[in-house]
Amino acid sequence: MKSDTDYKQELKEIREALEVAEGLRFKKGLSETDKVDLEKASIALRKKERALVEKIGSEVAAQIKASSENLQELAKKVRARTTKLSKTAKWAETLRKFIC
Amino acid sequence: MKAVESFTASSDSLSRFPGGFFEEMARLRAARGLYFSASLSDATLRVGEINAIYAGLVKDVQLANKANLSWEILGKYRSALKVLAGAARWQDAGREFRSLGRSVDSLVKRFNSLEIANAILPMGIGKAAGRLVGYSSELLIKRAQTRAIKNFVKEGDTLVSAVVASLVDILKSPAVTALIENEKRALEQNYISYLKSFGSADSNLPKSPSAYNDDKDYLALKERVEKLTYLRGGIISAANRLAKAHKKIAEEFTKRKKVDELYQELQDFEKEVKALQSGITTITKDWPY
Repeated sequence: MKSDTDYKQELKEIREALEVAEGLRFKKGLSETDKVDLEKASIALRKKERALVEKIGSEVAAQIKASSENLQELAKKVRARTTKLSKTAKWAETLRKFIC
Repeated sequence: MKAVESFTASSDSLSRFPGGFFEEMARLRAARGLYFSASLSDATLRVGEINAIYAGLVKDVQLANKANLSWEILGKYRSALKVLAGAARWQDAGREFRSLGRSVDSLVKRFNSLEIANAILPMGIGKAAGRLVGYSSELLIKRAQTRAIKNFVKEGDTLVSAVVASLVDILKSPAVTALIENEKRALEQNYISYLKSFGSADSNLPKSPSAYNDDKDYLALKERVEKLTYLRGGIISAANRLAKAHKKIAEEFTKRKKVDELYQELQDFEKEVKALQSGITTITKDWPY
């Protein structure tokens, strides 16, 4: 896993590269072919940005999942205890019916 | 116990908070992406880029929903706690035995009315016995319930604090800060590309015919982007308050003995949950995308 600083730097580099590419594609006097090629270059950079953002998002989700696992276990234990207590209450009810 | 029921009912909205923040970022990313796609001159490339924006949005929203996991688990824990803390369990048991006492008394009354014996059976014994058994069973279940909750809340407090601390760390992390920063800068960059595709100082292309509306839309997006930092701060402080409210419940449980004495603490917890709810309303109310 990359460090947060790496991500910050990488996002910055993509933005800077895109700024250069975008500056070039709006220059005067470009041929249609050159313009399309430059558009493709910008699109490639945007694709890279999306992939990086997705990677950061996946890591955030994984961290959140890892931090919640213990609490999830506890919630299961609480539910199991509730079932047990319900059984006690049920037992009381059965006893009442038996006495009656 | 009303407070417990109320805060449990609100768990569905609560489950969207961290995800809502990441989803807002994803939707802003898609919206600014459209400025870039609109700046492309090649029709095939333009449609390809729009499709890529859509695919990216779908993935980002899915990831944003995964960010809700800790909140969902907090919600499940709270629901489980509420069911366990429910008064009905011990109250019902007590009520049943008390009604049994009344039945015994009516039997005594019927026995006496039959006049089959010289002795008259005294009234009220069954009622008293039923009441005693009722209270005993109530006390028994209530005590078991209190003991169980006490242990769970104690253990839960460490875990709730850990989940909240981890979430706060993630939200505060330089990676998330970099994402916010990236949205701020890239929105401007993509809008410039869009404007340049129509006309600018170094271009002889005409200006966009809808320049006023374009600028208005850009302004609305800029406002949303600028709010990201503020929203993140709001979620962080709300999460911290939530952990604090749970801590108070845990502390009170250690001090007090009865399960039904936590009204105020549970109400405070509910207040924090509501504060988080209003947070998500702020995030989602302006979503055109």
